[in-house]
Amino acid sequence: MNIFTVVGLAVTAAILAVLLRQYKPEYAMLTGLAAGIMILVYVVVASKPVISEASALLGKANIKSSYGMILLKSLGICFVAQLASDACRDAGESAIASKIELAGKFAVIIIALPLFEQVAELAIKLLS
Amino acid sequence: MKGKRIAAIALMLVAVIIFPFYAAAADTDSMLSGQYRKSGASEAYSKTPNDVRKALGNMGVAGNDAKSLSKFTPVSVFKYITSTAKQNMKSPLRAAAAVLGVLLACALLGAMKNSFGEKSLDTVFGLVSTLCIAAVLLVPVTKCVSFCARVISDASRVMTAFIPVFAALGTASGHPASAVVFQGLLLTVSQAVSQIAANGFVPMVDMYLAFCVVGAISPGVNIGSIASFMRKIVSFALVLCMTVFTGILTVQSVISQASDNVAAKTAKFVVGSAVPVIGSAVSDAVNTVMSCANLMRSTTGALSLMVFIVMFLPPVIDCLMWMLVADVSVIFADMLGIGQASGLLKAVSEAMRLLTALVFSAALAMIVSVSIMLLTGMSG
Repeated sequence: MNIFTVVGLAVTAAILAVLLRQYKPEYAMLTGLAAGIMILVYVVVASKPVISEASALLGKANIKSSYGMILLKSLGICFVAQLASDACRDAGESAIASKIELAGKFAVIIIALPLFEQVAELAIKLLS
Repeated sequence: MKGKRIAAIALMLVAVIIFPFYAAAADTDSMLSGQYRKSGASEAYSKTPNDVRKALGNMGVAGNDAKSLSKFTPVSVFKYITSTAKQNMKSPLRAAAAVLGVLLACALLGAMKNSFGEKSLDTVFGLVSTLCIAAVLLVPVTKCVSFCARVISDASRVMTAFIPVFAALGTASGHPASAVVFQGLLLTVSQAVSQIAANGFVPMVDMYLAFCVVGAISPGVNIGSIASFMRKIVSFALVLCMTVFTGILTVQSVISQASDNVAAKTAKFVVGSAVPVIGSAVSDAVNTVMSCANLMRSTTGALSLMVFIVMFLPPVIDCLMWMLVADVSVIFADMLGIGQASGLLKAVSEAMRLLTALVFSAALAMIVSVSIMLLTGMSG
């Protein structure tokens, strides 16, 4: 991953956003959002070796692949939700930002439902 | 006349040469083995679980052969411990690798979550990683808890099978008071240990684990104090039971020993004085019979001790392994800064400590009561 690419893109987007905010604030928000999405996509593509290494580690440790998928998916949801939430806060819409965070939490909980069920079954078995 | 005398002597010499008679002492080993089988010890031994009999068989101990008991040496026990540890090591090590894998993956991914590290979404991600660890660790740990409960139940069944043998041999060896006292005491120990462990302590350990899992998953729900209270209750109850049991055992053994000594001496005196001419010989014969029965009782007691040691070693080793796994995982979780998972792992470690104490207490109750019964007989 080329950090200079990311830094250059981020600084350029920031300058554009500052310039556009004086004339068209909505375009500034869109510029920030677009730059965030591009950087996020670039980082995700570049971090494929990290993710495959983590998956290999979980596989070697004899953990079910579904657990590893749940961990990775929840991390991805957290990233996307945080990106959108930050964009909304930048635009001054903190209420919408909170709703996005709430949606992100629910999405993670839904993804992790099989884990919840398994642990709840274990806890009930222990109590009975 | 002289000729007849010489002929008689010659005839006697010929008879001695042609018809020799051999005189020897009885074969005590076969006699003891026969007595051992007839005492019911072999039948009681057959009530032990198959894996215990197999383990004792590998050490060279056969339940129907008194001589084979001498093969139960420290070396054979150490070999058994080593082989059991190697056999029981696989599941804890696999779980340890799984937990460490999850912790490392969380740490690796955590380095990437700095963008929301201080924000609300971090709590949710921590929850998911703790759920992963709970799912990986709790399944084998609950199996360990069930295994310990099953072993305690089996041990009390074995004790119940040996009690009539002890009582009969105790009475035959001139310790009727001790036989009666220890019969009741051993029966109480076996039933009480089984019932209290199976219906009291093990469910409380399970509940403690369940509360700790819920507490780790929901940090907002503060049930740590309930879990801590349950741990204190179990620890206190264990200490109380062992103290009361030891006190009763000591007092009963002292009283019954004194009573048996008086009874035995009175019986020998009466036999020696009441039977004319051969009274002292009969009294000595009574002594011999009682000594033989005492030897049977010691042999049977030694066999039962071996059975209990071999039965309780695997669950103790299992619990110690899981405790070690949980402690090592806590160290890694603290190093990597995964606090929520660290709380869950500490709870698992505490639960394994409680379970180890429970299994040790059950083992000691049975082993100590049989040992005191044997020692009471030896000093008489």
